Amino acid sequence: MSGAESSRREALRLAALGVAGALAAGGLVRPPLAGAQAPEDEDLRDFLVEAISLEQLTAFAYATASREVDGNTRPTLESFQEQEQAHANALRQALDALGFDLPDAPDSTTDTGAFEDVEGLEDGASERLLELLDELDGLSSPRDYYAFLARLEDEQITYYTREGPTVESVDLTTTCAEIAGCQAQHVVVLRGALGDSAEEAASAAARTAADAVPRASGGE
Amino acid sequence: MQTVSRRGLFLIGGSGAAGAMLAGCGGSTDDPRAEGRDPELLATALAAETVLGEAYAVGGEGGAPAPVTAAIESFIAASRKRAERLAGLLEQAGGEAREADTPAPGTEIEQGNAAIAAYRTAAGLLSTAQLRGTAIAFLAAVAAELSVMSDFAGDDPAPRAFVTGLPGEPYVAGDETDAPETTTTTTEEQP
Repeated sequence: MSGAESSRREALRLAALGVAGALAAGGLVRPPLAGAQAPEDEDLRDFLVEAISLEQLTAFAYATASREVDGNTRPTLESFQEQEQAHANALRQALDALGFDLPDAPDSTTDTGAFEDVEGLEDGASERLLELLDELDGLSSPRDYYAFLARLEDEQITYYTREGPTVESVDLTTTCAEIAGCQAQHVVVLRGALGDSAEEAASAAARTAADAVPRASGGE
Repeated sequence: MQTVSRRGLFLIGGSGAAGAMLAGCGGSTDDPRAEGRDPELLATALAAETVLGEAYAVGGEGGAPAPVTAAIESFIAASRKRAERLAGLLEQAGGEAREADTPAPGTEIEQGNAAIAAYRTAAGLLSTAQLRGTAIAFLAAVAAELSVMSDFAGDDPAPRAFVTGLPGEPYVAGDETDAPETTTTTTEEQP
């Protein structure tokens, strides 16, 4: 293994541990690989940028929804918003340690700049995120919000189940599994709010994940 | 080399706990996915899934309200499907199923967490993307069922940002003040 490869893995591991960020904050180190990214780093960047963008959009959507629903539901949506932000923060820390720019979070439903011309975000993903942001702008009833949020959660379950297994980092794949589990639980709650039975809600989340499992490739 | 410890994690504060969630078995220069562990990982997952299915079956025998019974019956069927899939994958991997324990009544949530922990370990370490994806999908499925069972029990259906199946936050981070004997990496083998 090359020294650069070893350093990159170590950087990811430290970022994962929350160490790199803490050290950098104290001025002790700079992002270890800034300006010296390998092609594999760009693959990780691409994975992380789309994941972070989805998480940040979802956190923003929960924040928006929590202002629009009645008081009984608000604490649940606020809790889910915090969990989405926790996912984004974890992934941002890894991206930061790799030395890449961090994607901005949207701060309004017209803040298209959060998903336009973002380094590492493919055109198709950018367009989909912009469509979702635009759709959020048109929601009005609590039911609209629950349905929209459930779709965002499905998008994330699909992303983590489809793309998470393909990243080279064991740590990141493990984290994808943990996040997918959280998103599945959010789906259960949201679908319950929409009137699904418990078993319908759970099986819907399971089906979304099952449909996203990568197919076997010839090289494996 | 950074030392890592549970204490260190909490010293980071703020979003540090979240950042720590990316942790795993870093530090090795070898590919841990190429160590031929599929039979062991799949057998562990199959055993945990089998026990979970039994726990659902045992728990559903007590005349619960209709919504609970309907959910549990659905979960028993889903668990059996997952177990069948795992058994097939285990056979393909050249492994053998191990004997599963008999769960005590009322342990659905405990066994759900045990299955999640097994899938979590497998998700990172299985040798192919398809196998890892299957582990992620099964973890998500059990997490969804756990959410329902927790809600039935009057608990928070989605209490944690990172669903690990472990009793506490498993992640640990650097703290140079820790003694070497407390140093550990963060991916612990799950039972």
